[in-house]
Amino acid sequence: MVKYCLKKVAQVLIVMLLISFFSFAIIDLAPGDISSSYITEDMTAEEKAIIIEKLGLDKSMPEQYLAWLSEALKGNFGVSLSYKTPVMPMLTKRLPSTILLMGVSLLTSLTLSIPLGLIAGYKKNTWVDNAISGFAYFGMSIPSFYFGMLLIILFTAILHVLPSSGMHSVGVNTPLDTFQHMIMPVLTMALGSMASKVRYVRANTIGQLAEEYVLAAKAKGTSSVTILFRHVLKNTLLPIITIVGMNMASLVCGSFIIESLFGWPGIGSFAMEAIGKRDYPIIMAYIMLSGFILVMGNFVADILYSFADPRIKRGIDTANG
Amino acid sequence: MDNQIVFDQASFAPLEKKEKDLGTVYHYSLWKSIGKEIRSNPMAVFACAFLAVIIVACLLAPFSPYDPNKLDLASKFAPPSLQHPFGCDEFGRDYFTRALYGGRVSLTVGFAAMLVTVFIGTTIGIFSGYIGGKLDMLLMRFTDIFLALPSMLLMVVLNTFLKPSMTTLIAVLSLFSWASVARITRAETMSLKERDYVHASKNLGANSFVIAVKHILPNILGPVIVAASLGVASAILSESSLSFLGLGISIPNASWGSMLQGAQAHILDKPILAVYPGLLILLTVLSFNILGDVLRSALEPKIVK
Amino acid sequence: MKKQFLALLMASAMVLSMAGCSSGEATPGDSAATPSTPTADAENKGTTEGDTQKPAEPAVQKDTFTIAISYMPNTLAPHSGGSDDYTSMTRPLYDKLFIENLEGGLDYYLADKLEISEDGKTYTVHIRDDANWSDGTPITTKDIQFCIDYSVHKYGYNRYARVNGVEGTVNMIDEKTAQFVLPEAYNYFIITLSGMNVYPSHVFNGDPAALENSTEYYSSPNFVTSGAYTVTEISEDSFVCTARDDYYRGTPQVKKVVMKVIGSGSTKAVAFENGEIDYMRITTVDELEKYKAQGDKYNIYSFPEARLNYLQVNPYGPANLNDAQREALFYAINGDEVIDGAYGTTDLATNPNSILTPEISLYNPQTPDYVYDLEKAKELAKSSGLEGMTLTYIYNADRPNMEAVAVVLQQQLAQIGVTLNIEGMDSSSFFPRFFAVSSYGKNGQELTWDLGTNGWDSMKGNTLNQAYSYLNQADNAWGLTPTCGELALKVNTATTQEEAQKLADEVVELALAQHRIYPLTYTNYVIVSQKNVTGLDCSPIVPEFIDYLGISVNG
Repeated sequence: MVKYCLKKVAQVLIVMLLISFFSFAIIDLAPGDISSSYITEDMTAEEKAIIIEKLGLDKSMPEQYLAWLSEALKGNFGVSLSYKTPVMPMLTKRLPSTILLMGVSLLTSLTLSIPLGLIAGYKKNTWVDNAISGFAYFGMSIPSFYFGMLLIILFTAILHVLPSSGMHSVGVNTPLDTFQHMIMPVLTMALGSMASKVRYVRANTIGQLAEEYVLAAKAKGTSSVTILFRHVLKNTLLPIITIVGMNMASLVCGSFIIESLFGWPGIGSFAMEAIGKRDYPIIMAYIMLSGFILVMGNFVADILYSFADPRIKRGIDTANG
Repeated sequence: MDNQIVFDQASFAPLEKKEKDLGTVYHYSLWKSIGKEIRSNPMAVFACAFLAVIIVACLLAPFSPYDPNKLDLASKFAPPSLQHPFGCDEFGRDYFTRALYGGRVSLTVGFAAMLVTVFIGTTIGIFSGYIGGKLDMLLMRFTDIFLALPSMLLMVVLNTFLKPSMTTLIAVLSLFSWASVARITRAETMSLKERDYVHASKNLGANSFVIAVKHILPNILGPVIVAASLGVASAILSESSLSFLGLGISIPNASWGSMLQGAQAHILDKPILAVYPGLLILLTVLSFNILGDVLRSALEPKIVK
Repeated sequence: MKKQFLALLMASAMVLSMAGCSSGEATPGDSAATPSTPTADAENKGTTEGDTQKPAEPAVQKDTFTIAISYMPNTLAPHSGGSDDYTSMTRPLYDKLFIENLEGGLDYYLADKLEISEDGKTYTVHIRDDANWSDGTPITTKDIQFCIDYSVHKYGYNRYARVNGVEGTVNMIDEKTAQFVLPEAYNYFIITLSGMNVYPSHVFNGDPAALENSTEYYSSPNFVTSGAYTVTEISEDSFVCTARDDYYRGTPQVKKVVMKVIGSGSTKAVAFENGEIDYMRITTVDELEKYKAQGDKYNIYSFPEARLNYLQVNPYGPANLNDAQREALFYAINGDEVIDGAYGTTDLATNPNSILTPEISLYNPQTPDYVYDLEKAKELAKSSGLEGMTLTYIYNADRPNMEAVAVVLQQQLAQIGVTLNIEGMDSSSFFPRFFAVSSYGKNGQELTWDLGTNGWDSMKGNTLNQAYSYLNQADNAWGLTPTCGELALKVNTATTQEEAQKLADEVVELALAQHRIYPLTYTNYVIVSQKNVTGLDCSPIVPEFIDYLGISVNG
């Protein structure tokens, strides 16, 4: 087991290293000029030239990469070009808002999709199932920004019940206020990742319902609700762990479009802004950070899964001697 | 001379025909089971019909009496009418014609990205699965990395830095989506390569390339087709997101995504402009998703219906 | 397998609901996006805010003015700016010495007097006796000296006494009087002075290096400011400026200015109509008409942006257009249609005749404009070989209406057989490309485009302003003859107004005759505010707003 974990850790490290190299290469290949973010309109041509010279990146790409890497390993992701301050504190300052949004979205999509999937599986091929599955299809086929736009129009412009953007109203710092600001971005984020979960749980439920233990429980006179939420749910939750790990990707990647749309003050909207300003240190740090969340999501899912399912654990232990 | 010609006709032609027949028979059954599954599911029929209508309409776009890019400031924001079924946009351009041309772009990007994705993914998957060993491990680690990349973000970064064009879009989209196809095809190849008939043809002296193309590829076609259908759907979705961020193809051309981007400036007053492209994206992606699922249940009977 | 059907059903339900909205709202002049009738509006607003438990911006606290910002800055230091957004955000916090107004005069802030000597070489600035920092320390010439020290620290020379590479001197006459002595007469210097940031010397003990590393100081509340407000609250997505009661120019009526991040795209318009923000800029005719029609709910302000948007023919472009080809190109451009197509109304932009804007005293309304003549353009295009050419056209997508201008020009030039490959990009990739020769030392990107649109703002005052650096181009950036530069220099060093005018007319006409620059639009800055907000145009300037004393939120 320990060996298995170590192997997984080594994999994570290699993937992170390659992500870093990959993103560094992308940015290095990119045409465009970082100096523009320093140049203001009232500068003379001479002043502009001086600024450009000061910024001169005269080293080769591998040299720059190694220098960056050795600093990054120490937790130093460099100094932002546009803000002229270290990148890491800026990201960590904004990280909690993003984690909050991602966490709540994940929770929402789980709490909605598990019961929906169970019911759909239980009521297989009835109108309930059709409605739920139709909803899942809808969720996976609509562009998230479009859905977000529709929500804003409906709840803010037409119904006037929710604030359009931001995380809290100025001067108000109550959980209720933050909750109100969170409703639309959370819904938008959750919808996209719900589809796969609902379908997964549904398929699993159908499979489980055909198992003998369900028959046995039925024979014992256990109510269907108990069967569904006690027995079937337990056996369905396991694969959900993997799905959640995989869903980290869509949460991480989806967050920056949704954050920008709703003006959510997290790392996603911050990164979008950095992309616009060609602020490479921030872009690099963001790619590394979201890559890390993603890889860790998969890693934790793998480990949890192997702990949770004794069959797998045994398999791993035999494989590793 | 004469003899030789007679010899040719008598011996090679039938043999050739026989081989062809074998192939056709095989494919026929694959396509037949797909056809059967689609026919048995009204929604799949609907999805197919919708896609057929959309594709034909987009192909026929040049027959529209309007130039999709020509300005007609007099009919700015004209409401839907007989002349302009979808109305006109902020430059008085016929919105219906633009939606058709936009569909060409969206669908082309979707299909092309899917083809490139499937090509790269299948090649790597079969290669890796068939050869196995160290190479397999290396390729799969590489694939894992691509699966672990925050792809949408990197797409945005790449598209910001590169010159926006259809080729860029296709390249970027397929660069970040081949990995899952490679995983599937590799797994299938792994199980197929131990089959007797593969061993047999190997022993008969067929080289690896022939075996991969002739014996393995046709047998993993099922999952590949499913992946392709879902791939078109996700490519169209990603393209719309990129276009929405202003990273799509350049003006005056449009895709459905960039039409949505243009429409959002007027969304409070002319929401109808956002309805058409949004709906076209939604329905097209929906149709491909439905089709993908139907194909999956047709081709992978082990999945619970 | 009916589930897919339900998905389709949901999709169609969505269409129907949206179509429903649109049919109800598409009629112009209706109370577009808000279902409330105008008369019920006040009530409606109150209940809305009650419902959502928001801190009720205008209705309850009538002394708060909320502004939408596009991003949350990491620091609010006076010198870390650059973008218009940032300038706008820090306007309530920092005052300039003075600014040039649209009438060509000066509005005084920290300074109360500017004297220019007869020979145009000596500029004497007197700081108001009562000008003070928000911690009570008087603003003195020490702070100006600090500003000069910072320039030396940053650029290696004093930019506040330098003309054409020769450095003059600055003398601090007394606590409140500074004298700038230039090596030669230079009218443009007034712009340099008006752009000067005055930094609090006492906070940094006069150490420019400390100012450079002041991010931390300027990112927590209550740092020292010179403007009407200090920052009292900074959160993840907003900051609050509170009015100073010891501000030297008086006490602002608006007690709190809130800068709040609002999401991208149409979210801003939604937030405005929902009352979350107090004003926003409008750039399309539809918005203008819509808010005009609801005059009982909104105020509309419009003032000249003092901005020239123009089309530049790149002398280094791959097509390398010759004289006749450029002439054909300019004949084919219909300036009025550009306004009509891209702006929709002359309320938003007008068709220019010169490379100077009317806000510059040297502007001459008689300067002959380019003529639109399609027949001539076609003929010339054919004979000069322009017909059938494909040109690369770049524009800055961060600037409003520039994409629309590109669309219109593309269609106009298509009529003479010219195809435009249009590339829109954000400022950070646009500038290194457009200014490849003039500012980026020929970085190679000058070879990648043929036509491009750009704009100059703050074109006001008594000099050629930004047109000067255009005409007196570095490295022959724009393809004009050297005579243009020589003349432009003479305008700036001219000692009498008549002489300057005569030279200015000459240089502008000469430049235009070379068919390198096509003036496209003079733009107006149009903003719409909630009805209770007044005074937004009391001191029209872009980026907005410089004089917060004139703004009121009580209607």
